[in-house]
Amino acid sequence: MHLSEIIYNVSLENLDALIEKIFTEIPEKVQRELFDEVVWNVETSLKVAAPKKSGGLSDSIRTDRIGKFDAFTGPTKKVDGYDLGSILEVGSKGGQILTPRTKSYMKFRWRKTGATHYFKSVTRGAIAPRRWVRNTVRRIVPEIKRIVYNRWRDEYARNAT
Amino acid sequence: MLETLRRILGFKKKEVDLDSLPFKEYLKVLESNDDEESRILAEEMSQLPRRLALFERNTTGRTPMLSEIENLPWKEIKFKISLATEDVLMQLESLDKMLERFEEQDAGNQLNKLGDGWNGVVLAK
Repeated sequence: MHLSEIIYNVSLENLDALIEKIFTEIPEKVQRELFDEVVWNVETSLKVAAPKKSGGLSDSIRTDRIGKFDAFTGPTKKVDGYDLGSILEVGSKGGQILTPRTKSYMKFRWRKTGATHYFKSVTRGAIAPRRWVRNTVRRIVPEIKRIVYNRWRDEYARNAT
Repeated sequence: MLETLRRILGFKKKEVDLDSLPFKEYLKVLESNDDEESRILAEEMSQLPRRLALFERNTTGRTPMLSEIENLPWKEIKFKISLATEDVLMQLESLDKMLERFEEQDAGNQLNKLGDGWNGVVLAK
């Protein structure tokens, strides 16, 4: 599992050569606005697609600029030092024996019956891969291209008149 | 390589410490070499700042700008690589080759000592 699988590098270089070319033809001021719009779209799409329980993963998604038109967008949420986003992206085979940290027993309430059970250890179950980042990126890349193309077309039309 | 470097930096007979060169200058030296291997190596190494930025984002929570990393001396970049977990190493399949090439056996040994899996997470293969 690579970090780059859950952190999307928003960069025009990651799109195709034509999009990169038409981006360079747009005035710099508009380029900045356009890049902000692209970043906002990526971040929002990832936030919407993030698996939710308490919303912590979704809330942790942030964008960091690493260059003028270059940024990382992705989750930062960690659970016990593990990247939650990665675990939910690729899943986990489970099987680890979990024991209580301080107490002798772990207490669980069985929802269906309402009965309480005590265990000295439990075996963690598998977590299914959600592929939420990969699927989102696949979906938004054509959208980003469309946004860049439309803005370029508008600028072109404005300059032509 | 040293001759090329001297030419680029305008040195005459003065010894050049490659380790102290800013990363981007070091990369220029590699790129200026004619052989195919250096060219491939330079191309792979040009991705290093991006990967290190990603690594720092994940470990420290602060994401440095690419220009900031590119201006660091090569020896500092090497040190950062030695601290990086398997995650970065997996993306740099040719890292061992690179380190061998520059006879950085110590750094290589440090890299090999890094344990299995990043953060010890058991992830599905």
